[in-house]
Amino acid sequence: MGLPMTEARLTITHPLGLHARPAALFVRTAAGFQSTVRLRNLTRDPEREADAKSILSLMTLGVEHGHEILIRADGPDEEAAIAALRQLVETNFGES
Amino acid sequence: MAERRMRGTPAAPGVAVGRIVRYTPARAAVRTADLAPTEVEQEVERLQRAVAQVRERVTQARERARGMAGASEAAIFDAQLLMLEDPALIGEAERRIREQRQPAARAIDETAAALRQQFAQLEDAYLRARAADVQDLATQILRVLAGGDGAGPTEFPENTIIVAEELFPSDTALFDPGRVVALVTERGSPTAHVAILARALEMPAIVGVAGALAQAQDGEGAIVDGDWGELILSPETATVSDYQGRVDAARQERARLRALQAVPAETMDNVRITLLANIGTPREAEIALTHGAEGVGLFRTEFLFLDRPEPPSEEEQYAAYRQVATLMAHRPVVIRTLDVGGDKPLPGVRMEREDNPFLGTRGLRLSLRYLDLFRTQIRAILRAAAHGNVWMMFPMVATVQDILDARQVVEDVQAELNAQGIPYGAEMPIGIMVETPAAAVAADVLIREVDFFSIGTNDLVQYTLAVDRTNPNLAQRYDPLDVSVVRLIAQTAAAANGLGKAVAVCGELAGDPEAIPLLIGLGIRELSMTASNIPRAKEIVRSLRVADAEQQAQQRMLGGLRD
Repeated sequence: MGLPMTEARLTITHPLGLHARPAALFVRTAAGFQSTVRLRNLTRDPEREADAKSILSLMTLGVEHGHEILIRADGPDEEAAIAALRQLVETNFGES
Repeated sequence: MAERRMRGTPAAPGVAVGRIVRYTPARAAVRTADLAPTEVEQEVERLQRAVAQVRERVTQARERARGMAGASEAAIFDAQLLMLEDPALIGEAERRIREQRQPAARAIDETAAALRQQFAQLEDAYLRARAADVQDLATQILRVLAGGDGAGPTEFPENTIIVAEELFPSDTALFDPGRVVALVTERGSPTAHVAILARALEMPAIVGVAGALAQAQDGEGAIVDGDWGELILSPETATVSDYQGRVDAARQERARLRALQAVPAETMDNVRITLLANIGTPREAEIALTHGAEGVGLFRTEFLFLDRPEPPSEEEQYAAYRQVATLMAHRPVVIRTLDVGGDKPLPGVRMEREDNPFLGTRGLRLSLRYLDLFRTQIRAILRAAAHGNVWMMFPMVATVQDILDARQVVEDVQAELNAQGIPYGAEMPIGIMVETPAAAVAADVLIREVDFFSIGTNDLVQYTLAVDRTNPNLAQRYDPLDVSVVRLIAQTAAAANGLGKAVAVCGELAGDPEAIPLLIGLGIRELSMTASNIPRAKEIVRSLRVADAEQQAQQRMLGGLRD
């Protein structure tokens, strides 16, 4: 890719991991941005990448509590996308 | 026809008597020939219209589920709505139409099959079960594409027992609980959505009944025993009357309990009380939920250790704890570490005979003595804490040093898990049972070292009054509401409440109708009891005022007699 991307490494502290409600919130947030947003589960399989705007794709990463994830955004609003997702994860999906 | 019995896996408890309807929604014929280039855009639009129609149906199903089963069951459909916008399902199907000129039906069918395969490889049972959501949506889209409205048949006679190969959430949401009395499937697992919905709807269900569709005849009389996992076809008259009695009794009890399940455990002056369940095996966790438990206040772990030649492995323990943690989702699960004494034989442990086992090496004392056993259990609990809202609790604590020693072991195990890169619940709360007079008297000191207290009244009463509760000669002297015990409970509650930390009562007293008002008056807001006592406890909570309870408690604290 020619242009620089924005990325963030985060640890999931929500007890349910990226399942159920947290997964839905994550996908809804990512889908609100124009940039492509990709996700990897560094703890389980750092090679495999999923579309963060797809709940099905995201669930196949099996992100559980304590796992470290890498989010990459690429596009006109990539920094805003990363900031929004980082905030979501760091505030424990609005539950803390 | 003669009576025939078939076995499956129990998925939702209860019994039902009715008549068989074999539910076999026609699988839409899938056109396989490739599209002509001019047909492509038209086919994409056809798919989008079908998806829109299914979205409409899922939205309706969500509203129905919200009304019948509650918000958490409706969440199943929230996730499905998101999947209907998902690039991995719909986007991929559109790509197959555009780029590979596949007809819409084949594109959806093949996309769903590929996704199901990916999900099937996941370790997590919850995620694996999501494959059923994908299949459910694909089936509905296929039905619409084939010219239907996406629904299978939904009109059934009264007392229908559905027999199907497999059922999906959208199917069950449309079943009328007034007509359909039980569900039987050839495939599926007790953790599938259909089982969850059946339990929420209080509809007995059995899964995994191989050959049920071939054996059962439409209109045939049958009995479903969801407790045992048995389907009885053409039952004999005696069998029917036996079961009919159980059905009637269960219906009356359900009606009474149902009225209570929807309402919170709140006093007349609006103080919220948390009602939790005591469980001894993972299976009881499900029963706890059906009784309206808001979590597990005491998960006894002895079942894993007793009556076996070898102690349980870390993996076996982890699996059992995780099962409960996952099932309870966000609800708290308080796991108590091994609580036995020298009077019970333990595998892999050579215990010395003690003259007085109740004042001997029991509970935490035993764990601290057999450190390998303790460390293995702590590892399993910490790992399970990554999958839910797990709390860890130590039994038979008398001194601050007991807590410091136990916490040191926890820290060692955490360091080990960190070094090995094994995920665990780092934020897991750690607490103690308050069941020795020593712990209760020094509660204000002990509370500084822990996150929560749970008062184990059975032992606290024995130790405080110096009365063996099993000794018939002393039965009169075993008074769980003696002024001494009441004072210990009061100061334990005050110590925890003063620091804003949780304090529960998890002994038999917590489920005792006479004791509940008193405990609330003493400052207790969490009660953990045998699950079946929860509805009755809720009735009591809802009928009292905290101000009155406090007054009663004050009198008891001064040694006043009970009303």
